[in-house]
Amino acid sequence: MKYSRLLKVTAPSTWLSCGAAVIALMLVEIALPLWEDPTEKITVSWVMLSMLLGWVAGIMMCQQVLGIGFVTGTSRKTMILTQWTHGTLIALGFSAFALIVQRLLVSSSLKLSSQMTNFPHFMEAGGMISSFFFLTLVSLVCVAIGSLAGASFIYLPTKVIIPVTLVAIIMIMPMLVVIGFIGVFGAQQLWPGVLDHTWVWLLSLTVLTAILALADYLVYQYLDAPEQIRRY
Amino acid sequence: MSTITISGVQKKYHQKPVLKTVNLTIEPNQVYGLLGRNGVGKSTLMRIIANRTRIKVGTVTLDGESVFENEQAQNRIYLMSTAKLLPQEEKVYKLFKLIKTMYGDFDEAYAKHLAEAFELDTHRKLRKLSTGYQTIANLIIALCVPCDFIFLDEPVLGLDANHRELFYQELAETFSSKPRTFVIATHLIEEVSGLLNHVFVIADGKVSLDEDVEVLQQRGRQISGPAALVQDYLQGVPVLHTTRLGGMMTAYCLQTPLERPLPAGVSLDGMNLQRLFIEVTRKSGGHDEI
Repeated sequence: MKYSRLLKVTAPSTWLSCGAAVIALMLVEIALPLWEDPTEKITVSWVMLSMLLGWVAGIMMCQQVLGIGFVTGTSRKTMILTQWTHGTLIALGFSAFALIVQRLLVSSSLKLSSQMTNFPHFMEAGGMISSFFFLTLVSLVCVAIGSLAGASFIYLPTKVIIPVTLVAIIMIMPMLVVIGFIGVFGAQQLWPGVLDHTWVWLLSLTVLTAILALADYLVYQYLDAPEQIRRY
Repeated sequence: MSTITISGVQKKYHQKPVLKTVNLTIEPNQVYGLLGRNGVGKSTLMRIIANRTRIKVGTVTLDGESVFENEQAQNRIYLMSTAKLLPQEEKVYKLFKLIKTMYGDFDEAYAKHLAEAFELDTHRKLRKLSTGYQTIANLIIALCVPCDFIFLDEPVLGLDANHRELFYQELAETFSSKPRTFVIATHLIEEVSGLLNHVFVIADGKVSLDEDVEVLQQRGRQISGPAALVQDYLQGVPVLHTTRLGGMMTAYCLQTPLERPLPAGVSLDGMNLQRLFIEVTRKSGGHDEI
């Protein structure tokens, strides 16, 4: 019962924040380039946009859900389930939106775009459905990371947030990228051509999403209500 | 009738014990005072009951079922505290609607009455209100939410004297018209003493006093008079504290030898709740020389 109620009360602000984020991203990726040079072909980095939206959604939802959840005696399980429900709907919604807009950009008489950037070529070749799930999973991974980041912003002392964020950006994220590259390179050496298969990417992202969802769940079980929810 | 039972609850913060072993029972339709000095764990105890703070040792049950992560139980419990957890960007009337959605019900008519009585503009955002009015908004929510157990942690923080008096009046009226249990943690003991049925005093991480106010007021006594006579009168009687001013002494105790005749020049008075609290929670007990 509390699940559906928490979903209902947190929906307006969550979706409003994400809607505003999508509009801002679209302005930067499509409207601004078209305005600067109407003849230029648009190359929209849908993967990057999915990631950004996932982070924004994760951070914003975390604050809403935790605040209202703790005041109203909601269980921690319900809070994390609510967040993931919103996250999943946002990821699915944005993926559908991305594919529709991309289709419009490609097939419009102006031929504004020729490809989805940052996609592995076989993913595009795999068609709409695999592209849809790929974008959704990318978004969900970032929702999970955003949720953990959102919780950190609430619980870490203010003076520690900036140093921790800097450490994460300067050290941890590049480290993860390097590990990712090593993993990809290693996989290509061990199983040549394995990364040319759509299902490998989708399966890997699914496993990563599941791991992060579990991490979110475990972290939330140990949370106590904070004294205040910071808004950033 | 529903009862909240707290058994063997312990809580540490950074390895320092705050609550050592807390045992108490909260009955239905009572107004409790949860008293204690700064830092003894009153707020922590309330947060534990409201599922906001986890514990490893002890149990809190409502009708025999644990309240932790139990939404059905938590639907009957509400904690109003100083924590800023509600969306600060929302207007007050929208927060009322939010609470109504979460709890399934909310006394909107009473909320409107209270908002008018306190002159609270419900169309203002919560964060734009002064500290006092933010407290009032939270108080209105606490008084209108359909819960059987309402915990009020420092409910009059930031309220001026007029608003405090209004709150006490409204609390008395709502308790009389719609009985439920209120547990009030406050330092303004004398102001709320008239409302309380029962008090818990927390000291040294445990419940040091668990008594009806009426009984306490009958038991608590201050005996004043010439020091020698007072000491003689209270021979063998446990004394909480004494104060001496020249040759005169005032002694505070919880049991008085009523069978002994009061010597001439010695007066026996009742102890108000605040004085009783001060004496019970005084760290060293003993004697003050002025």
